[in-house]
Amino acid sequence: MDILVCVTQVPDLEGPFRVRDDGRGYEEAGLVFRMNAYDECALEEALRTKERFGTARVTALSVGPGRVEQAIRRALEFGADHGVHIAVQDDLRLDALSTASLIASFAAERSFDLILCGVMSEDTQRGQTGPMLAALLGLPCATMVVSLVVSDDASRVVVERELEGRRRHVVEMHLPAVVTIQSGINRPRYPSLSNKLRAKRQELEIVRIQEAESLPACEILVRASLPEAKGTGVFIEGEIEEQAEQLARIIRHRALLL
Amino acid sequence: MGVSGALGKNHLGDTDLVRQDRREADIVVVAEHHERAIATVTYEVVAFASRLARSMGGAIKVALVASPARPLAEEIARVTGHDVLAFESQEVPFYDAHLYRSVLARLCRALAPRFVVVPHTPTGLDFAPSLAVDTGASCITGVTRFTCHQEGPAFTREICNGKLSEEVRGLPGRPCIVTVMPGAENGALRVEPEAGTIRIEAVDIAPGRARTLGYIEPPIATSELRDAEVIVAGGRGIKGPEWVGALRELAGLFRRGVVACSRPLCDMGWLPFECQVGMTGQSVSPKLYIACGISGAVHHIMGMKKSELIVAITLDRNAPLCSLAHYCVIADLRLFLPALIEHLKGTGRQGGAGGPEIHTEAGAGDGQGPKQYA
Repeated sequence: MDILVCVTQVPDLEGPFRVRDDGRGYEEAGLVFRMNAYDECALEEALRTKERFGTARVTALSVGPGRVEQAIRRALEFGADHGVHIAVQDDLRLDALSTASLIASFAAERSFDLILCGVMSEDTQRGQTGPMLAALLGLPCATMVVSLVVSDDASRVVVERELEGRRRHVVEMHLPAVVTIQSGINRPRYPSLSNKLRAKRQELEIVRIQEAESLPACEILVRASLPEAKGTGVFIEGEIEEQAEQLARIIRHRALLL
Repeated sequence: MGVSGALGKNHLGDTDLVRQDRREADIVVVAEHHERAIATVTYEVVAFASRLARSMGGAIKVALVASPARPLAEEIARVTGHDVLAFESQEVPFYDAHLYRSVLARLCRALAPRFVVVPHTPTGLDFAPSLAVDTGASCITGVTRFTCHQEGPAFTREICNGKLSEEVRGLPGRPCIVTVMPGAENGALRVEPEAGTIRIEAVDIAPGRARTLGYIEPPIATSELRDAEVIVAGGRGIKGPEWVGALRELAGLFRRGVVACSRPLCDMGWLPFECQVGMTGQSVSPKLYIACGISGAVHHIMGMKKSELIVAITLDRNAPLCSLAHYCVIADLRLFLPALIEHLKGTGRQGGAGGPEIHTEAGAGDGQGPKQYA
């Protein structure tokens, strides 16, 4: 069976963000990028499924500028067999429909049995690309999946979608299908040394997109900005011991201690 | 896909029905329900849509896909005062993406609304983006508010864990599907004097290539988190499972103190799912919520923002939780937690003489001086 895993890069979210001078999103210079954590889980799920079906093949794909090749090679390090880079020019902001359209054009010419994506990307958190991709390909889709089991004859998949309060919705789909993966479904493996070596050398399939401006879009960005500072909280400053003493005083005042 | 369009079972006469149909629906709100009850988020989203309708001028219809539909439709019509268009499928009484997409796409073609407003929930996100592709609509998810512009409303959403805002609008000349964050509105609707009308249609849709096998209920959550006075919650800033012990020790200093966490610690298996606070976990409102190494992603904040006193301990000054918290301590947890525990026990070392004063509530003071040590 052929499995496609769509991966994206996200910046490290722990630092401050700056808005680009043209207001079109956040400034990327100086940010460190890594693979989207949800996509790591999707990739791990693909690899586990591949290990059940001896002749399965996992393709990792990413849409983006040159830097995403790092994420594709990372997927190879984890064990993906083949890497695809849908290359767009730097500095291009793609919305979910544009991204999904590019992936759909690629996937429509192959016959993947299962397409996995992370449920959302950690930065934009839209959660749209997977379901849009499914709709463009005319495939069924299940989102927020925390359990995935392909039938022995590889014709169907049974998934559990996680709802509020950890209630689960169990769905069976005919393959081919698209599934978006929620964290907690698995714990991604460590890359093996042999895969790391292979990932360094292996040639990626590169699809260059020339006219990205003519891609279908699902939104128009008016502007990005820093949110209004809504905090009225107090920052307790000082050395560790001073901070601890002051916070302890505040807490003791609330009479909640034993 | 066929639709057996049995209109009827409506408490108004036919002529009223025809008049209702001809009135434009500028905004369609998609209701969410679980286990035969309307989800609270539906009313929040109706409140959002009502404000949108007032600012741009327009009528609202609420779409409901449910079987049986009548009791739910009647509640919505009564509580919101808006007209309800309900679709009942005997064969598919559960939520089903294909059913929702088919019904709502047909409804959108018939009514040509400007906006389709959907709750931003696991259910809403499951069908809204695909519905956008089906109908050629724009799609904007995770919206917290709208702003009126000359060209029409633009919607604000937060990205990068709340560190950035984007203002986004739909493409002109086509409907725009918007998913609205729970809690974006307080859901307090004005009491409507007149219930809206109800139209229920039986729907017969050829099954898609997915079917619901059932639902798995979670284990009954203990009331421990709900009843806790003090919650000590850990997030990604907790760097190893061994630090869960420090959380437990801190929680143990309080009369009714309990350990909780955001999703990542459950994903890593360091704490059981019962400890998770947030959208897919539990909602809590303790007297004191001490967030240790939690950035405050919106899914977590949803579950704890009603806490009386929120303290954030983190290395990230820009973390969204710092905007929500009453007190923030920017510190390394590995150094700070032991120090805090010692000070709460009364055995902490004294800080430097030049330590800054901070204000607690006016007139506050615990009546005790700091302990003296030899």
